[in-house]
Amino acid sequence: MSDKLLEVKNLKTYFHTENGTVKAVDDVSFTLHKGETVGIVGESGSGKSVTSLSIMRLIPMPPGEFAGGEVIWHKDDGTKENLLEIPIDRMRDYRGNDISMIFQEPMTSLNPVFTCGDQVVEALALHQGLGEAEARKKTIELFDQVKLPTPERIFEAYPHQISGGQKQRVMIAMAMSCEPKILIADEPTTALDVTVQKRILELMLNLQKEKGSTTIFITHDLGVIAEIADRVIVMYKGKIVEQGSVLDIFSNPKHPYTKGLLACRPPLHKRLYRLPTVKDFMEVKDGKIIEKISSVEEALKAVEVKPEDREARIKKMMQKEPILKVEGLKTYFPSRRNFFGKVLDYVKAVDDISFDVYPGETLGLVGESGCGKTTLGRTILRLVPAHAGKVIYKGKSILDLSKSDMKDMRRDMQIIFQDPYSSLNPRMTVGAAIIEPLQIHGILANDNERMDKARQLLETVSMQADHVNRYPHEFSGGQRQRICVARALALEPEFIILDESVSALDVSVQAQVLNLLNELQDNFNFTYIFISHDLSVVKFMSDRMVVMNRGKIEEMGDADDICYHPKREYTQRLISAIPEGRLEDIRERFERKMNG
Amino acid sequence: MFFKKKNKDQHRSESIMEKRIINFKKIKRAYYSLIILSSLYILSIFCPLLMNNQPLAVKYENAYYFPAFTDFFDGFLGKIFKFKYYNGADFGQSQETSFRELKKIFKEENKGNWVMMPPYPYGPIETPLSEFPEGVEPPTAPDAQHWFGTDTQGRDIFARASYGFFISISFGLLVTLLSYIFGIGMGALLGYFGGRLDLYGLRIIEIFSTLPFLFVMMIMVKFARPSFIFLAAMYVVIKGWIGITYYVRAEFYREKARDYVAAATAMGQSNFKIMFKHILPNALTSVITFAPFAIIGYISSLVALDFLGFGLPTPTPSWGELIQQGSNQDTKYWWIIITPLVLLFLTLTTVTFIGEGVRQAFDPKEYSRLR
Repeated sequence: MSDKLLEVKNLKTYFHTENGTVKAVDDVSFTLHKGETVGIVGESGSGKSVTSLSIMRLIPMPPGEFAGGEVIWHKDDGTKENLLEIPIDRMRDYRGNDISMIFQEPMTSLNPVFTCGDQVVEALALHQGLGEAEARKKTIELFDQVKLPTPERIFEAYPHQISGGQKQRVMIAMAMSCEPKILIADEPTTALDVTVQKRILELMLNLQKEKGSTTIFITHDLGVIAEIADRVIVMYKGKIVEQGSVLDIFSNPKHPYTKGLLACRPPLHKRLYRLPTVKDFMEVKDGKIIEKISSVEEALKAVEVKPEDREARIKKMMQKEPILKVEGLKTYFPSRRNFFGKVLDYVKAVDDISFDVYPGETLGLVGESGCGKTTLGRTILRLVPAHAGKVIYKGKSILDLSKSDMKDMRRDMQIIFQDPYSSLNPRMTVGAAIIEPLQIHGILANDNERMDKARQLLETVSMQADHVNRYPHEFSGGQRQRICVARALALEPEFIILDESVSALDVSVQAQVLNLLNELQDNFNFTYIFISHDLSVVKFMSDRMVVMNRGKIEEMGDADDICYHPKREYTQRLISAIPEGRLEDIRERFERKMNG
Repeated sequence: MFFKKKNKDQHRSESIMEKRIINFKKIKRAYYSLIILSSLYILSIFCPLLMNNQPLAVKYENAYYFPAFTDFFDGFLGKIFKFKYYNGADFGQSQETSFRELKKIFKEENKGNWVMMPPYPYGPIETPLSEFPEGVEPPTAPDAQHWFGTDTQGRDIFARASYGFFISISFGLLVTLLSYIFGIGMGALLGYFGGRLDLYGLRIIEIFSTLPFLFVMMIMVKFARPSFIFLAAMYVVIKGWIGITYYVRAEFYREKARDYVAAATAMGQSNFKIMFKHILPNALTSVITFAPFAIIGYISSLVALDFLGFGLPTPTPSWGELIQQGSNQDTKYWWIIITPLVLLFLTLTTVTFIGEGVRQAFDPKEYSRLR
């Protein structure tokens, strides 16, 4: 493979902030050959996105700066050009034409006031100078290639009229429109459900095979890398710690960080009581990385649960009275009204759902987005009004409680939300946020005592007590989610709904938060309802599992049973969508590629 | 060790607001404009003691009198206490004798009586025609006595313009404050509760926003002579709150869907607390950056009203009235119009600088555009 396309040599991208210089990309070198897919993997803040933005020269300056290095583009005629040195006008010719990019958030990267078709036509007109009719024809062709159903209809549709997965397809069509030599995909599937992710990855693989395009695929999830990439670059704190072919990295990871990333994804076919995290594999002392465990298998074996232990636990749990009973619960939203405002038709978000939750249990709730699982969680807590049905918590019917009784009930039932960025008020210190529930319910004598409690709680969720005086923006996503957990714990609830609480986190951080939640459950005997779209995560967390589809229950039962022997096709689909990163799968993919 | 630990515990990070204040201080032009304008405004509160035809202190037949302080406190407490106003008659002269003449007379008499005048011994509404030299008719040009000359009735323009400065800024601040309180309250209610309340609330806003302010004022003036408070209240009710309500309503609409609001609801927080403790601080950004420009608007519209004669009652010193006088006069009396115009220009420019600074300091997206 001598046909080099792009060479990144000793790239250094620094950001000068008020708190000193941040070395976002620190001496990174790699080569990109024609027709290959390189995956860059690392947790947030590892510099993987900045690397790709540097190649596009999309770094805002100031505060950013290229402190050194070269990005060398090999032209077809054999000449070379350093992309970091050419004038910005020339760079614009590269962008979109030779290198194009797909961003993480399909919801916001399409302009809502233009139709999907118009946005692709614009790109075509700009870079290829096509006329309107030609561009339209080409766009519909592209939509067809990215497997959008009814390309003509999507062409006329506005972004809000199509689903997230379809939007990402439009983005891919747009990025492919000028047949770029390099496609940079920056976490293109992170905001999507696993099932949608699966389809997008399949699409990208197919396109790659058909067009032979070169891709840089950025993600925090090694499982995704296993599905799509030929080579992997593992980044940690702005530096490359390991690179090699996907097979090598998965079969024989060398760097402890890589091992940590490999081990921290919840496995589908094993039951663990805690997930190994990056911290189990390495320790950073004085800037040096010290390895603790050398083998991934060993780490996994150490935390495996014996089947008999599990059986005993479930048996013990089921003997008690259920703490929560949901009977025939329905949540409808009006979708169509007549002239006088009378409701004609409903969206049935939750449609006749019944289940029990036993004390100390974790009940998993899994389904694709839009299946009504979040609405179900919120209806149980009466954050959304129910249409019909009963929710009985400890013998009391939640839906019939008076306002003041409900206020007392809220002490017992807490919820932790999906987005750690928006669920903390940015104007309140962490301490103020944690003591707020205590103030509302008049627990403890004064704010000083409450602050002490907040410090304790922060330590409970493995943060530092002196974080009480800081504001949420100083913390990372995982830390913020811990703060949310601390806030939920303040009232010493018995029942907590975890609504996609780890979906917005990196896989490595997700493992830490999941472990924390499990530890807390062991210590305080909480009852959880754990909601997620990712079946592997739900399976790791829960004792029993409910699979939801279109507001109804598809399947309900023991979590392991459902995973190992799914009865419904829908469940099977959810399971097959999980990027497990198994060696056999990678081998098979490589063989298929070799054979064409 | 103990000391160090304590220090660490004290670490308190800056809130977003504190950060913005730090940012604002870094923008020198705006920061100094704010300092200059606010110190001038504070100074202008003491106008009755600094420029007045009433003396600061009088000693007359072994008794002390403080007429200027009467004037000063009258502004705040005049409604509650009836203060005695002194004139020449109280000190053994005719009623028309001004205190400046009295000062001369006491000095000549040399009986131990004295008068202490303020640094600038002319008031804003006094017409010292008797002190003009023979044959000189107002308006008079700037000279050593009257720094910026006198107007058509012989009143001192420097004094009038300075008092006018105080009144203008006070008016701008008061109207802005009241419209913000009212507008934020309304906007919060409409945005947070939505539904039917929002529907009817918006219709009321629409009705109010179609009221032509000037015409309404002209009609009102037919019935009652507007006072300062009345004018301010009219501004708030007819004009001020509407824009703010729109902004705040939209911000509340957006913010109420955020998870931190759901989190607060889930912990049992009351609606009132959610609205004003959680959402409001997050909803204020746009209206705060808007405030300096609102103040500018109110200052200039007060000038406009006064100019047209529908503003504050006649003897009140105001810029608009001065401009109106000046524009009716021959151009050889240029000082009447130039003084208030220059002052207006300087004031508005300074407030604009402040507004620019606030906007820049509040802009979180300075670097977020890729280029």
